Amino acid sequence: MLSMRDPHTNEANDVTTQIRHGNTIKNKIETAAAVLGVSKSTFLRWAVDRQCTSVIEEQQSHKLTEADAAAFSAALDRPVVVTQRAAKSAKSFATRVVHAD
Amino acid sequence: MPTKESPIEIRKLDSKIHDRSDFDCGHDRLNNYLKTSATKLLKGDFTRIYVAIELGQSNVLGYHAINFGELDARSLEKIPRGAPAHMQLPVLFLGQIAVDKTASGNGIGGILMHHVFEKAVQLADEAGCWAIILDAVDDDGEEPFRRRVGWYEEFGFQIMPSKKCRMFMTLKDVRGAVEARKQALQEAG
Repeated sequence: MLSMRDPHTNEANDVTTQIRHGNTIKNKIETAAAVLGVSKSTFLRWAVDRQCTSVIEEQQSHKLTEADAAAFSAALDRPVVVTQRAAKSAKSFATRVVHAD
Repeated sequence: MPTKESPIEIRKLDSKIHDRSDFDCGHDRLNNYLKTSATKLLKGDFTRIYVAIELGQSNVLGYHAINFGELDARSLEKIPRGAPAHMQLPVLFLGQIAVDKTASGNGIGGILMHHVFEKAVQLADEAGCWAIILDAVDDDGEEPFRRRVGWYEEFGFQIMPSKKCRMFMTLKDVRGAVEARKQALQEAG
């Protein structure tokens, strides 16, 4: 059986969230919950927790793969590049921005 | 409406002051983020949102959202000078930049991007920052996505090979852009 662990099992599950969805999602939820051998409520709690964690992590971290590392390393090693666009915006910022927090 | 010469202020978003009600950059999620998600994320200290406004006005011409993050750089073959031993490098995540349709073409996006550069250098000097990382929005078709990637590339960002929408720019290059601003200021007297 596929691995899963119900998150927050020591926490009272006394908050409700209602969502609207169509039959396609309904069928997927029922099938996935059945595959894992849990109730729809348990499945949705687990699935939502996983997706939330993933979204938050993705907005806060990046793990360099080997290919990423090669690109990042090359960028660190080459001379400084200030593109025409970056230089133009730097000039606009210098001349037009009267206040910046 | 601003022109290419209009004086601009960049302020931390204050929902009591800044008018976001008519903001429309042409992308629903980016509009929705400013109008409904921004205040919640600010309160939770998840992110900081900066808005561009015309001098003395309150309606938002454009915005960017930034937050701290971490780059797991353990796969780098050569440890960069000054990197911590654990190789978790602090970085700045740029959530998004968006400009109202009525203000586009007047340099607001570029000014906002430069403000991100200034913030990254400030953070680097005070707490450490190795790069800016962003995700180009990719949910409205290949052509708009390519256009956005191209826009970021023009500033010096490059694509992370592992993820087509994720891009980065090292702080070394960001510092170069900030130096260009200082030089422009000197030249302008």
